Amino acid sequence: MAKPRSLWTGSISFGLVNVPVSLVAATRDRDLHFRQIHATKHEPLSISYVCTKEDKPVDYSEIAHGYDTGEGYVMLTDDELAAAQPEKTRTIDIREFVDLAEIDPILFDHPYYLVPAGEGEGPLRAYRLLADVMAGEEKVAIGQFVLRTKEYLVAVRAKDRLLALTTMLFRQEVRPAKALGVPVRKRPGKEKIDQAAALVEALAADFDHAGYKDRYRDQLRKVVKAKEKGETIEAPPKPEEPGVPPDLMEVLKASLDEVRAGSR
Amino acid sequence: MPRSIWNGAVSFAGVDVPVKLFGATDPQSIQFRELHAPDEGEIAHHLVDADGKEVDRDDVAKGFEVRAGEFVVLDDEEIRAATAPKRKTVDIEQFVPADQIDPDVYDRPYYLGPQDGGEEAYAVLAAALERTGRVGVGRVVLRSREQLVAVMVRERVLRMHTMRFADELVDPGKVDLPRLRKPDKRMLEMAERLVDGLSAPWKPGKYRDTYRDRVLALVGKKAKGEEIDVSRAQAPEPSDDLMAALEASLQGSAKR
Repeated sequence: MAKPRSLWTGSISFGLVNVPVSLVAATRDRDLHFRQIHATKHEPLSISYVCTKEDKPVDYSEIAHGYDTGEGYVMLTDDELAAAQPEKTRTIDIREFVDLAEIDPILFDHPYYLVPAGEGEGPLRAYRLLADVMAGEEKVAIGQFVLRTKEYLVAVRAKDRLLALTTMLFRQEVRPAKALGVPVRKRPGKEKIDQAAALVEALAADFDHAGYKDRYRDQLRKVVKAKEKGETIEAPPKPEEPGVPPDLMEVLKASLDEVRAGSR
Repeated sequence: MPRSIWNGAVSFAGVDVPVKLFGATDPQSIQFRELHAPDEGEIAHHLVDADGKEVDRDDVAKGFEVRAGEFVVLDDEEIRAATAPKRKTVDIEQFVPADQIDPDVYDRPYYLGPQDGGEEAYAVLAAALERTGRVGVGRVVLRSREQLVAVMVRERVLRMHTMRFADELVDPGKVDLPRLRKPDKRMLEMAERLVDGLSAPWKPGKYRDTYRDRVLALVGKKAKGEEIDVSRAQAPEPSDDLMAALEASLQGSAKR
């Protein structure tokens, strides 16, 4: 198996135990991708980074970060950015252990894995120790670190034999739900909730993740195939806008009758 | 009131709950502009052909490579035709126990708000999810792409998370690892004590992004022409003597 590409290298520390680790992807791209091509020549195109001062293409390694102060740019190099808080760009410092179930999933950003980066017997053992102790206690470790140009809150936990790291947003980065006009004060009638809960239970199942297939990939493939054969692809009709049910109780009752009749 | 991204209905077993979709997060990344380091010129992204010649936007098409070097061109309407929904709905297929979904399955979170006149249906669905502890799993077409989504409730507010498909997550059992020897019992016990000592209730509000402010301070310094020290802090020494590091950690945490 190919070695996964390292996206970040540093160490994870808890107490005075430091483990050198690399961050690798836990997701993979299964989407069908379109390329930008020349409309008539059908040649694939690529992106060129052009310096607008010289009107000349430049190498990506010569690109730095410009911060717009309103009175022009202040330029920072990668090294200078890392110098802003060196410890956070190189170390995931575990500050606390919490129960995973307590964390609101709205905070979760992106999943990764941590793999051992050092060769020494001590760090390898420490990696396994951290994974084993968290697996045993069903705890997740909370820390913070800087990835590229952003600081993230992270949750590290044991998954199989691996340490899994999920980046999280800070609480301050989640919008308050208050502005949405959600009726949180008025409770609907108990009878309606009973009916709706019965409907939910009628459609209850265990979560079988692999059972859900990405139909979009197949649909897109079909359209590509049809186009290749020279078929005309009709523009889709506008989807119907669902309205507000006129009598909610009646709809709930009718649905429940139907679901129950169907399941028998 | 923020602007909604999409209006439609959450539909389960023939019941429509008319909703509006809103973004739930606002990541506070620092916005940088790409500059050419030697002369601080702004960088523009140009689309170029094989000879490096810039191609006009009007001459750019979306092509799908069916065989090496052979493309089928589709326009946006044709791509949209791939998943043309009949109705603008989030079609709930099943309701599953919330705690059966690993958080890594969740991709992007959104809030759902009620549409005018749909407040009661909204509140009824929210209450039913709260009572059953279940999450609705279904599909919706957003930006001409069908997505797997989870509809859930938290503090009486409905949310929708897009979800990753199972084959989009790397199986942890298939990641290469060096041979890792099982830690001995004493070390495991010490590590458990260390974890217990650091265990706390989850309080997300107390964590702050400090990096952002430091970078902005750095920008201020540099704007004044000050030099920035880039001698990076040493990475901590790997713990070669794990037992000693555990002992020292436990002593340290006992003192706190």
